[in-house]
Amino acid sequence: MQIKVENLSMIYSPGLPYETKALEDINFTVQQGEFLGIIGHTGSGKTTLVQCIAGLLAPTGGQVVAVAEDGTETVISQKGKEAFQVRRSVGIVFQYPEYQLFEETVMKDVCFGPKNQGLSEDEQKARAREALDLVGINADEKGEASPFDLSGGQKRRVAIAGVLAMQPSVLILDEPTAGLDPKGHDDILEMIRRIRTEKNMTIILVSHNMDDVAEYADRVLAMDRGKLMLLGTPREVFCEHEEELRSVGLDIPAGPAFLWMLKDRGLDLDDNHLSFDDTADEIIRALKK
Amino acid sequence: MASDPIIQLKNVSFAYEQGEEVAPEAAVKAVDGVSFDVERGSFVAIVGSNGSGKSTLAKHFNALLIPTEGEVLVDGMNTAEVAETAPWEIRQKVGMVFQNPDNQLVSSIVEDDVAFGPENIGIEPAEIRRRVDESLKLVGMYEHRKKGPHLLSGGQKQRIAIAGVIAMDPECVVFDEPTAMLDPKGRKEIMSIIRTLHSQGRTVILITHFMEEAAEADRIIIMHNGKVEADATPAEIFSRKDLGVLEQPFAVRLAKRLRESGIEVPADIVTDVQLAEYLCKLK
Amino acid sequence: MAVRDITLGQYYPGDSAIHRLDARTKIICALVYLVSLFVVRSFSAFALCIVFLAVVIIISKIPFKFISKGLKPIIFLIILTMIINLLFTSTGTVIATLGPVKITTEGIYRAAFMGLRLVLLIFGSSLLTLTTKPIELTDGLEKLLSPLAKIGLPAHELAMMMTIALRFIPTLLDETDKIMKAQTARGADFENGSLKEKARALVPLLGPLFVSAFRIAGDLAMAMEARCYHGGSGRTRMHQMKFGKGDALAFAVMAVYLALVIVSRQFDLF
Repeated sequence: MQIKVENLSMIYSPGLPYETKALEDINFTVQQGEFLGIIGHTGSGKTTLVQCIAGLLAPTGGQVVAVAEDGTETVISQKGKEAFQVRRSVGIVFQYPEYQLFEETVMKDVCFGPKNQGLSEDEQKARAREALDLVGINADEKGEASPFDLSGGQKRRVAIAGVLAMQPSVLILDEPTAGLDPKGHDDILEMIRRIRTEKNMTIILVSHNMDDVAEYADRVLAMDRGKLMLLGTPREVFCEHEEELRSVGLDIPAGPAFLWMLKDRGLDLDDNHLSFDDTADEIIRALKK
Repeated sequence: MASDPIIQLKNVSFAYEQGEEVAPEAAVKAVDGVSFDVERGSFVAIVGSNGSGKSTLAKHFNALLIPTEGEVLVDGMNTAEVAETAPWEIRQKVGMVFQNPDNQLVSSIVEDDVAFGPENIGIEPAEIRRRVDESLKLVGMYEHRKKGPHLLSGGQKQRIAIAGVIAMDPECVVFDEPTAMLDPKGRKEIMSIIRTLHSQGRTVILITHFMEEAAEADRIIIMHNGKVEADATPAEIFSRKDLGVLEQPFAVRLAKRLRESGIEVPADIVTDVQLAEYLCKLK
Repeated sequence: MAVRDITLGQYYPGDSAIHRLDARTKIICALVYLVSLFVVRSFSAFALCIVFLAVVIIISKIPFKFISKGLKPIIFLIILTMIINLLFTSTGTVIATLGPVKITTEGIYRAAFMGLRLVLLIFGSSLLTLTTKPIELTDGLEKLLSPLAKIGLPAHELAMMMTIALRFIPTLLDETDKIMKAQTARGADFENGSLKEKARALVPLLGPLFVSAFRIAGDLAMAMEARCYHGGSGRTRMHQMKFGKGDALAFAVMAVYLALVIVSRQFDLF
């Protein structure tokens, strides 16, 4: 499934003194199986954008279209039965999703989505098992446990499984690693990468961590004050447009940021390197010159 | 340097109550036999994985928790004794900023929230006004003083929370993962305020998951399963290979790579700025 | 964002003569006004209440549109009250008969009367909250109630509870919004279906909402303790309250108004 975002606009409280333009004329397309990173400050419109894509907010202008394999187009961002069906193929994991757990057992919680889809009890359980398996939770061991007895990292995985159980073809994650320690952080990102490969799922990752986005995403979309500022590969965005990112106060990954710092202090080097290895090599080259 | 600790931990253990059927010795200790001193005016970072006991430990520094074994002395006062009568005497010396910026603001007006602490300790109204204005200016939120917290960003709310603590004029400020819920801009702002507070001579204890932040401290304490796993300068900590939970900061990894290719980099360089300045001098 | 549209209990920043009055004055005046609405027995006297309120609104410089939004959440309650009055008043001339129910002139009169009274009640009390900062409101209440502390009324605690409630209303609304969205994303349907189905969809919402509320309460209690909170004793306040000339004037105006309302009972025109 391909997602087309067309002339998307969102105005909150139109006509009132505190009217805010959360999104202004956004256009882009996400291919099936693509890993898209979305960056931007708090309040730049990232969250509004992904909520429109997931059909949770109705935009005040433009539309989000889902294009199926066979070419049929459905507008997600509108009411109605058809859109409701298609919306189910877009899963969204909110920030701190573990706060949303509510059932008595892990199994029941993960079954919530499939149950709403109207599946039989056996199908629900099968879906839940598969989803728990994907996030690395053993359904036999933890299935009957209360979600509240799990560790923080496990709770988050269960919450993600709850979305995966609906078998979406697009998975949106809003800051999935917030508040985790470095190991938990890496584990979650590796898990997302694995799920993507196994299921050929489209991943849309909203993140503040530029290093993660540079490492995992195929393309990066930068938002600024409701507008789409940049869209391109991590190299294009972080290396070729770093001045623009800086001008709006956004971070760039550690490597180019450090190269830029050296250049700013008068060292003669090329700051168009993204990975850690390339950064190190460039510094060594510059110093040994 | 003569030792002048503001906080002393003596064999501190803490176990959360597990319900009656669990025998006390079987209860899981969130903090297990921890001893160390925090020097007045120092900047200490405490790191460790989720569930390592660092937040529980932090709540002992201002008598929010009282150890089940051992004792905590704050400026010579035993927290277990003072907590019975007047815990605020400790809490006005050791202020605390929490992780969630939303859940620690009491009032729906910024300046009234900042005044909350000083009001509790019975400061004169005019002096409260002066302190509130001064603290809000220090954190750069003075122009927002009449606003409601729900209109501010996470980073701004966290700055208000810090101002609220500073208005009590504490000698020591404990930050319990203050940047965990913030975006990079918010994180930078908070770190810069922490540096300012430290430069004013206040003791800073920073609990964090971000190694780049910990690298700025004078000293890093690593917690693991309720125990102190390591306690040393950032340079020493980051050069040790046996510390599993740690992710080395970018500058440390880069310095290591440079050394491998024959460029000499001193071991005490742990932050980006230090490394950049050093490398530029080389050339 | 929809849950955010509620204006009832919100403060509208401003610097009008009304805004500048001492909170205690405003609380007392608002109370007197609310009482006056129950003293009134005729529409002609209501005209007086309306004119008075209109003048206060004009002085306060709050857009009427903003005040009227406060009615939104309770419009249902008002209509219900009016319908009950309309249907269950049996005195007066019968106009129409719907099975066992009779619509009478008296019923219409009472429905209109109650509706008007409720609307004025809402406007009067929202004018208080719109022109008074929540914190001043709670401070004022605390001060007004403090004489009752001697007979065991926890004035400070009540005021603190109100302060916190006001502070966390937006937070809890946001939280509700977030949970609803997350569950909508997992196929829950809050919008379609019968009333019963809608009610059932709300059940899974309550669990996480309570958990959130308790988490917030726990965090906040911890933060308050860390900031030396230990009840009302030995506490000072940054804002000192004092009555000024404006307050004296307000009390005088209020006294005249109340007198007029009471006198109007003698001259019920219609």
